[in-house]
Formats: sequence, C-alpha cells, structure tokens
Amino acid sequence: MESVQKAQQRLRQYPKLLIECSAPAAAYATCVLAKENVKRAECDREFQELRQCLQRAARSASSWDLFILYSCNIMQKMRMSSVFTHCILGLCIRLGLIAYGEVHDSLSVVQYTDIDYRVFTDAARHMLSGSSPYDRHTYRYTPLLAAILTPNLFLHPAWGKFLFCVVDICVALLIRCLVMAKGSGPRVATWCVMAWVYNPLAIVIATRGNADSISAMVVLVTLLLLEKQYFFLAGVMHGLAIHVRLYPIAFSLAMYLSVHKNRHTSLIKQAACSTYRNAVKQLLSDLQPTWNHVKLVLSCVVTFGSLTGVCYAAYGYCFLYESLLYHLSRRDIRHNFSVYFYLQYLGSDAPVALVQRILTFMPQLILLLCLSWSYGCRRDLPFCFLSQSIVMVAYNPVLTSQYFVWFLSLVPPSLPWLSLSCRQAVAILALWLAAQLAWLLPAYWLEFRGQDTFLYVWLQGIAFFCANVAILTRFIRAYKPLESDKLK
Amino acid sequence: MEIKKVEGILIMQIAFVIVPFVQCKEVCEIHATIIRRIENEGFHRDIHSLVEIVTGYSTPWGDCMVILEESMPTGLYVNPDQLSDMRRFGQVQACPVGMVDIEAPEKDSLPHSVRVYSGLNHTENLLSASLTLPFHIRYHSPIPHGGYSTVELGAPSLLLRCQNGMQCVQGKRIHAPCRPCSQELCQWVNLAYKTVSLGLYTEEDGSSRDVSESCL
Repeated sequence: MESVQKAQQRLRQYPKLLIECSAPAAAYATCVLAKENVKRAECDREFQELRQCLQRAARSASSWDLFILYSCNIMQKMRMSSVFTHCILGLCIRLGLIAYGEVHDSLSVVQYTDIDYRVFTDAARHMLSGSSPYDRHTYRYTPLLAAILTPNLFLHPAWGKFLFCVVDICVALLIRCLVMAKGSGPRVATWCVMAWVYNPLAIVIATRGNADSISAMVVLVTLLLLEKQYFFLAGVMHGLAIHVRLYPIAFSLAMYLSVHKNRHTSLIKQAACSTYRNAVKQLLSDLQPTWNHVKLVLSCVVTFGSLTGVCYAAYGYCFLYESLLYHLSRRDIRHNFSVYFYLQYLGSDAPVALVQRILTFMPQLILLLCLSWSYGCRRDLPFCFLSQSIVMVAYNPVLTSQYFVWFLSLVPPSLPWLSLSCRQAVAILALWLAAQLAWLLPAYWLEFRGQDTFLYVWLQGIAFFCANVAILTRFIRAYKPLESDKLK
Repeated sequence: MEIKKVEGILIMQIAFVIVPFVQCKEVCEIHATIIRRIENEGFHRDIHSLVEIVTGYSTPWGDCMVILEESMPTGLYVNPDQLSDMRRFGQVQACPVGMVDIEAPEKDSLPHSVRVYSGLNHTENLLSASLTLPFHIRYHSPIPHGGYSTVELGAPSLLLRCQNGMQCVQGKRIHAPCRPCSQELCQWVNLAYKTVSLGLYTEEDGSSRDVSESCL
C-alpha cells in the first residue's frame, strides 16, 4: 500500500515540477513537433535536459513537501487543519494587498487607500493632540475608532489596515464557531469560512482601510454569545455594536424573542396553524420578560448608554450629531443606489414632510418587525440577521456600495441552511452584480459626461431594489433549517 | 580745461543716474495674459490656465512664482484631500483657503477660494507658467421645467513674487503664504492682466425635473 501511496504522491507532484521546468519542456515539445516523423534519439539532447531539470526540481520539492506535510500534521493535530490554513492564507493575501496599497499609493495619485481611512487617521491625529476627532470634516464614527487607530501615527500608517485584516480573520473564525455550534460538520464550516476569507469584496474593503469589518465582528460575537446563551455578555456586545454602527439596533427585537429557551420552531408557523387571537396571545407571551430577557436588555442599554454618555461628555454635541443623529436623518441628493434617491433629489428644496418620512420608513419597519417575529428564535437567528440586513440595505434612503458590507458577513453563517444549487447561487450572484453594473451606466453619463440621466439612474435604482427583493425572497424560500443534519 | 573736466564728470554722473532709471522703467513694464480652458465633462473637471508675462528686458528678478487665486462660487468646490494628494506627488501646487464642505449642495454652501502656485519658465523676456486645477461641481437644486443650470467661474487674481525685489513693478502688495498651505507669509504683487474671455466661464450641471413632477 505504501508504494502505491508514494506513487500517487509522486504523480500529484508532476504538474508542479513541470511548471518549474517549463523552458526545457517547451524546447523538447518544439523539437518533437518540428519533425514530422520523430525518430528515436533525435530529440535526445532536449529530452535529457528536461529529465535533469525534473529530477532537480523533484529533489528540491521533496524537502519543501516534507515541511508542508509536517506542518499539516501539526495542524491536523490541532483539528482545525483546513480552516487554519485558509485563515493564514487569507491573512497573507490581505497583508500582500496592504503592502501593494502602500506601494501603489506612493506611486500614483489615484489612491488605493479609501478616503475614509485618511479621515480616521486625521481624526486620530486630532485625538492625540488633545482636540476632538470631529474637528476632521466627515468623521462620522465613534471616537473609539479614532482611539484604536492612534498607532497609525506613532507606529505605522498601515496599522489600522492590519487591524481590520486581523478582525476579518476573526470574523472567519467566528463564522466557523457559529456554524459548528449550529450543528454543521467541519467540512461545511470550512466552506463557510472560505466564502468569507476569499470573498474579494471583503478583502478589498479591509485592505483599503474600511472599518466595517469591526461592526461585522461585533455582530457575529453577539450571535455566538446568544447561541451559547451568555445573555449578559451578548447584551454588552450588542450595546457596543449599536454604539459602533447604528444598524444592529434593528436586530434587537429578534434577539429579544430568541431568548426563549425551549422554542425551536418559528413563530409564523405556529401562527399559521392557530387563529389570529391565538397568534396575538402567543406574541404577547413571547414578549413577557424573563430574567434572561432582563439581563440581555439591561446590559445592552447600560453598555450603549455608558459608552455614548462617556463620548458625549468628552466631545459634546458634535459626537452625538456626527455619529448618531446624522445617520438617523441622513439625506443625500447625490446619486446613489437607493430607490428613494429621485424622490429626495426632487424634494431637496423643501423640508421633508412628515408624511413622506413615514411613508419611506414604514415598509422597512414593517418588514423588520415581520422578520423579527418569523425568525426570532435561537435556531434561525443568523438567517434573521441576514434577511433583516438585506431589507435595511434595500430600503435605505441613501445607499452606496459600502452598505453592502452589512450583509456580506452574515451570508456565510446562514449558508449551510440555504438549500441552493450551485447554479442558483451563481444566478443570484450574477443578478445582484448585473443590477449594480446596469446602474453604473447612467451614473457614469451623469457624473462624467454631465448628461441629465437622473431619471435613468433612478430607474436602475428601482431595478437594483427589485433584484435585492428577489434575492431576499429566494433566500427565504431556500432557507431550510431542518435539513442541517444532512450536511454533516 | 578744469571746467570741462568737471562737466565731463557731471555728465557721466548724470548718465549713471539716468541709465538705471531708464532700464528700470523698461523692466517694470510688464504685460500679463492668461489663457484659460476647461477640460472634461460632468461633475469632475480641470481648469487649465496658461499665464504669460512679458517684460521689457530679460528679467533681473531671479526665480519667480505666481499664484492664481481662484474664487470658487457656491456651485463649485475643490477637494482639499485630492489637492493634498496632488501636492504630495508634485502634480498640482494648490491649497484651499479655509474649510470646504465637499458634501453640501449648491444652495447650502458658501463660496471659497483656492490658491494655485507655480514657478515661471524664463525664455528671454517671457515668463510663462501652465497651471491646472481640478475642481468639482456641486449638486444643484432641480429646475421646475427641466434643463441645465449655469455656473460662472470668475476671473482669478494673479499674484507675482520674485527672488530679487520688484519695487518698481506696479500693483497692489498683498500678503499671502509663500508656499502652498504654509504658515509663512510673503509679499506678492497683484498684477493686472488681459484674458481671452474676461474670466467668464460657464459650466453646466445636469439637473432637471419635469413640470409634472414639480408638485412633489
């Protein structure tokens, strides 16, 4: 058996060796091809060269392979073999891109680094010098972010990017833990990790210096803590998540409903079976607080309140406005993906009527509440977060590509329970990308050609909205939580 | 003989006094022209200005620099971050004056100014510089019957400063930063100049809406 294994191993190495000896191989091939009837020993010289090269390569490769084999053994002993390698590889790709970004930025005026990263760095500089980070125009984040990025100034300018990449890898590990905790096998977990680690969007976002992976990590930590039923800590994390970025506040109701320990079936199915009155009764009983609910809510409120209070004490109204109120009342008449863009643009001269505010906010609110109610149990929580974030992105009054990060990190944790065929998955991805690309065309004519294509930008915005809704319905149909056992 | 000698010296002295005066008068006679053109379409554009200063003689002033001080109306803005990048790469030496809100629409913003610096190339009695400034158009309010808005970019001020003094050059003295965005102030001479289209530049911004939608 051993000899067979060895032969197999040797055969597996052959393509690798051939790549290293591409030059002699090509010479041999041209020699053979050049002569119509190859006689024996006619291309002998070329063949000998190729053979020698292959032998040399095999000798050097074997020691390298031994090293890999050895390290693989260690990793297998750690029982995380593949996930571990993927994470290391993912980190290496990211570090490589950070290095590339540094070189690119020093050579070209079109910068690789995101403008926000410079805003962070400037805010950190203000903070170090004792003034407010909000002195930097367009800094609209928590002061904590500027605080953890202060090493940008005294350690290395790329410190923040490195940090975001490490956070990215933490997100990958969290995805694995979450999927495993939900009962998937390690093989499926590895696939989910790969879906995040090698996601080009995630890689580019982190290495360009976008801080969004931090809120993704905090949200996933909250999910994991809820799964493990550490309600107090989950509340603390959720409070932190809301402080860092406002959008996780939409997950609150679902989290609250998921605390009920014994419930493992979705509420909507129960509601469908029973009468309307029973459904209301059921909902009210679900909302009844237990000690765990109190722990979750109190720790969340206290964390959020104290963080916000401390920041308010330090930086005053500026902080409150820039990092909270601005995001709540954000209105942007510049062209974006949002379905409400044209409405806002046309109404930009007049103050927004209350009716309009309610009309634009209600669909989102109703959907978020419905999703909270239907998927608000422990088993469905990752999918609940995913669907809610898709709703928030699709219905947002201002939508730029940085908002897509909201649901990007939530797709892999629900992946094992989405029964999509490979073709369906590709179709969904293609639909989403096509809708975005189609939007880019009128946007280009508007922005770079000065043509009046506002209406077409809006129409493409509607198309993108439809694509998002279609994807959400596809996901909801494909979500089969019970089939998770099969995946093991 | 004695008297003639004295006269000779006197004449020589007078000549010495007059010659530099005449020379200075010719050196100080300078004519500046600026030729301007706008490139690109849409929201992101560049304005090119070719500055030419012709003097009477080849200049004894040493190295010279000019500033074009553009005043951006409410409909336009320069991006301070972009300019600082371009300064770093030595592409454009420009610095906005004061704070610029890069997000505000036209109706909510204030005009601001930006100083574009450049060295001057000497060729005989011609000093020339080519300056480029990238600028952006703000979003304008929609127009009830559709169509395009017009933005006017006014004529810039032309400031000149040379290594050796230019006491005789006519023009208002102005204190401005010696280099882009530096704290150190230098004295500059504000020059009058001729320009092809008198500094009137119109920009169009595609913002429209139909009449039927105006009720929204």
